[in-house]
Amino acid sequence: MTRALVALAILVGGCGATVDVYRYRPAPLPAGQSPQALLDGALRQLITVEWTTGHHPIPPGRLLVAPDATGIAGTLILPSGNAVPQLYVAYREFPSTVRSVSCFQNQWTVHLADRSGRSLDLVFPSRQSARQFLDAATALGHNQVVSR
Amino acid sequence: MKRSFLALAVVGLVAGSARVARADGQVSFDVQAMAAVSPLDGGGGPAAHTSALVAGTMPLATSSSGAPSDAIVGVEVRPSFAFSRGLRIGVGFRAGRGATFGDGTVDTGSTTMWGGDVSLGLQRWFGRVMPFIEARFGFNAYSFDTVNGPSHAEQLRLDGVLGARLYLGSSFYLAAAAFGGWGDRYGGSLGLGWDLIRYRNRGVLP
Repeated sequence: MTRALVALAILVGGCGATVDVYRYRPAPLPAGQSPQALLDGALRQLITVEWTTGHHPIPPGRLLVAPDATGIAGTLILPSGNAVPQLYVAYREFPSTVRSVSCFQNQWTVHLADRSGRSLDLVFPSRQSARQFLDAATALGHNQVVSR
Repeated sequence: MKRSFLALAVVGLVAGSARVARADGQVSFDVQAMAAVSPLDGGGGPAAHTSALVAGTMPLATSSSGAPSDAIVGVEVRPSFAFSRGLRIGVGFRAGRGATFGDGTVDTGSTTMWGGDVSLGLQRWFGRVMPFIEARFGFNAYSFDTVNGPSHAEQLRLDGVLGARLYLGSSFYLAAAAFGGWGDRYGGSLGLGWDLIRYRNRGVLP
């Protein structure tokens, strides 16, 4: 009886998860810092990656996210070891490609969408690393547009 | 006995002190007891398939008039999702049995019922209370014994619903609703629910 009532107390007290959702607005990078180095540093802290393929089922394997000169590529590593390109989000598409940033249980998720409607969620351990990733990617995109 | 009272006091304290943090969106799950007057014999349903009844396969355990059970009682489970601007959508599943026949005679278990619906509505927070209105479109499926053997009937329903949640804790609430329309002529439900996930819009990322 007592256990049941204590369980009820916990239930009443609150067991629902709360997700905080933020809009992203670009901010300037710290002075003297290279955007590429900041991006690499943020991606090294990445906890996990979640993604969708639009209307198609997600094939087996794991997604490897890696930056290159013009954007972030998501490559599927199949169980056989073969690499299949899946997603590509160009730096010049930032910040419009950022749907939102959410925080749940102290993990910060950056929600991105590519032009084909496929989503890429990058989970970071802190707000600072999420912001560092976004600001660096946005700065790289801005630099590309300017250099054209 | 003392322990139970102590635990009950803890429940009361927690319930009373828990903050109800307003959410901009939430995924909720309700479990409710429901009762409805839902006549099958041409009771105004938009497309009640009562051919089995019309054909003379009356329920075996019926009232003296031979009319089918027209009140139902059951349990509903109702997951729902609320958006930040007060829009709510949900689905409901119900299972139950016939309660009374048209003349008030108690149905002793000859009729069983299950069904489902989809809903669309609006809700708004007022402190711990969140009233809502919604429209539900769904069906009831009945099974009953007749002199010719088991039979089935289906009934579409379209209901307007007026209800409210009273938050007892940060994510735990009491839910009550009254509904009326076609199919389910009128009825009500009472139960408990939980916000499984809540979304809060926090503005610009700091």
